[in-house]
Amino acid sequence: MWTTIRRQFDKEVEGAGLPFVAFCIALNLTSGQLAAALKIPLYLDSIGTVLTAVLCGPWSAIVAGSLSNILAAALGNPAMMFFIPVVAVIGAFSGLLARKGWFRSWYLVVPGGILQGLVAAVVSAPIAAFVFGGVMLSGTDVLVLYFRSVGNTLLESVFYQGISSDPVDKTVTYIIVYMLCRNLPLRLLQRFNGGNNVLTPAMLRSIHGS
Amino acid sequence: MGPSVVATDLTFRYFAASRPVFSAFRVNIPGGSRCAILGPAGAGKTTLLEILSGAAASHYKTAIADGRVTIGDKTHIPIPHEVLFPRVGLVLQDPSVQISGIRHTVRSEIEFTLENLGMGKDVRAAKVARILERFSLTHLADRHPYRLSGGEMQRVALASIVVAEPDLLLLDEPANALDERSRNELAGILRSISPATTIVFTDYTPEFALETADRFVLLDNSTTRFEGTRDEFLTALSTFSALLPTEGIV
Amino acid sequence: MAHSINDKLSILIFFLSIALAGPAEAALISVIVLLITRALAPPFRPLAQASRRRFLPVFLSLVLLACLMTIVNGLLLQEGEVFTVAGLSLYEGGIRFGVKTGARLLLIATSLLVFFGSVTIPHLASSLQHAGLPTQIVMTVLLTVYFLETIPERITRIFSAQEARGAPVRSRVDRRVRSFLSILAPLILSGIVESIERGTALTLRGYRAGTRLEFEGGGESRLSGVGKLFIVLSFFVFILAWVLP
Repeated sequence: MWTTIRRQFDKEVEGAGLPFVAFCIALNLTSGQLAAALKIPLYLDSIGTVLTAVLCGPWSAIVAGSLSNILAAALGNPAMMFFIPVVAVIGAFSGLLARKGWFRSWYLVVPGGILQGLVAAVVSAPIAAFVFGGVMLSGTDVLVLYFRSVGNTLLESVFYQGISSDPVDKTVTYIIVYMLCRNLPLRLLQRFNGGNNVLTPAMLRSIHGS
Repeated sequence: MGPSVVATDLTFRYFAASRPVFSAFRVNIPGGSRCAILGPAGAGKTTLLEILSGAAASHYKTAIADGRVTIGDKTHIPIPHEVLFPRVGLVLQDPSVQISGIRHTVRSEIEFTLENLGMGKDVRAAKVARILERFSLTHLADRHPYRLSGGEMQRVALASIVVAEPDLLLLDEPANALDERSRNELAGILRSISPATTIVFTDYTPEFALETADRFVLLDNSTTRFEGTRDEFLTALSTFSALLPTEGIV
Repeated sequence: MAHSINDKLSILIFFLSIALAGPAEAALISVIVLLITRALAPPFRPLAQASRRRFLPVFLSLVLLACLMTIVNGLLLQEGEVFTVAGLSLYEGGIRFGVKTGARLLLIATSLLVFFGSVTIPHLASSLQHAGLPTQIVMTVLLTVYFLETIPERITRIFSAQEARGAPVRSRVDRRVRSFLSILAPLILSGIVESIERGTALTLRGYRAGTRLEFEGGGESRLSGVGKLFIVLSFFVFILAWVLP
């Protein structure tokens, strides 16, 4: 099984892929900080993972997400280690959506982002509840406290908090990635294994026709 | 004697490009020569080196390529399908990109090439020591490759390819962005490479080429405007003033 | 003792097993043991100045987190006896749960902090390659370290260009989002261009998927007797937790 996964990964990162995955991991680690520095009330720390998912594929996105969190832990934020399953699922899910063509038009990107947010909330709720007891030392703790004080269980409260913030964050992430890929010069796009995840049939026709 | 390089009827067009880089292009570089490929920006110099090294193969799925390329006794139809390293080595224009970024000393940066070729530890150490000496890099061996001057970094990039002893050495604008002293050092290094290696390099000015090359090709708009020896090139140079900065030479 | 990275890894596993299977008391004692080890045992001292400086704030925020978890659960998890502290009605069952999860989290996070502080990422990657991690992943980690070192500089460059043009850094959310994007877009575009060039450059130097990499200063990755002992102890902790009620 490992050999199959490794072969899939190698195929996805053929050519420009390996340094690109590395760049996306570094992007994950810095874009969240940048958003925080500009006081934007979203995490925006999975742009690199989703970008990898679209331009390379799901396996490389799982690798990118997991390594991002391991490195974040190594660089002084050990809590990130516990959320590896969440980022791995984000990578896999967005990679599969990209393969199905959900990044070719904006009217699929928005529902895709919302779905991604729901999936992320489902996976992260048990971790936030059982490892952290629902306390993350961030602004969203107030929401968890509110949901618990009105009579929900811990897991429910964390989940409600998740679905009140994750879909917005992931939808914005998806829109950013979609816009970036659409504006990428074709000569760059075609160097990636997942270039066809972005190109619409109409675009391909106009290229081959010229 | 290094291999000759012959390209005939070469056509190459990048994905979604409005016009081809080459169409029915031909060039003939004798074995063992030091060949300068000159021409203005956009003439197709870099693409030609990428085709010869096999690096253009990464475009292969989507680019349109036709013709034949013969390097030594091996013919590639239409162009090499994969990177031909270590038989053919290409030194990129920007040495900072060529330096891997994953090594902390000049020594292990050069050694990285030999690790990729699967060589044993002792062989690697000997080859690296020899190349450091030849390229006057011994005193920099333990420095970080990104904390060097432009000329030194260029020498490290060159050493990291030459250490694999390619038969055909390609250099993309090696003298570009170098100061007088670094250019002289580079010229000395190129002269020290034996004729068992054919050297092909590009430039947009003729000065460095006139110091080091014995064979000249002038590209313009993806076609060969001139192909010949140093003397023939010097005789014809005055007619190229629209393509090359020739003041002070002619 | 425990100079090799695999020994450190086995000690990390031991502490993680206490955190996962042991009682809260054992976890809290382990945290203190870890702090002492970090202060006194040279192999566990932080390597980089940055990780030395970061340790205390991160550790204190973790302690705060654990305390908050205890109080929040004491207030909301309404089990067992009630007692009043400083005007707050706390439930015994909630406090117990809070202390348990808090201590567990504190131990896991502290052991990760100490472990990662005392190793370099390339060294860790080298050791993991010896342990069978695919070299593609190791290569990715090393390239990430390269990009991480260069990204702040790129952001500063783009950022100063934006500010010179009057990008709004302290204003309404939509304008801040816009300035976020105006930094992100050129950053990603330059990253993509450089990735493509680096990918080409690597193949031009003979790199292929699966190339085994050598590491500067590598080789001290064997598992010594001490390391093996801690692995056995980790199993022992789980067995003990399973056997004891």
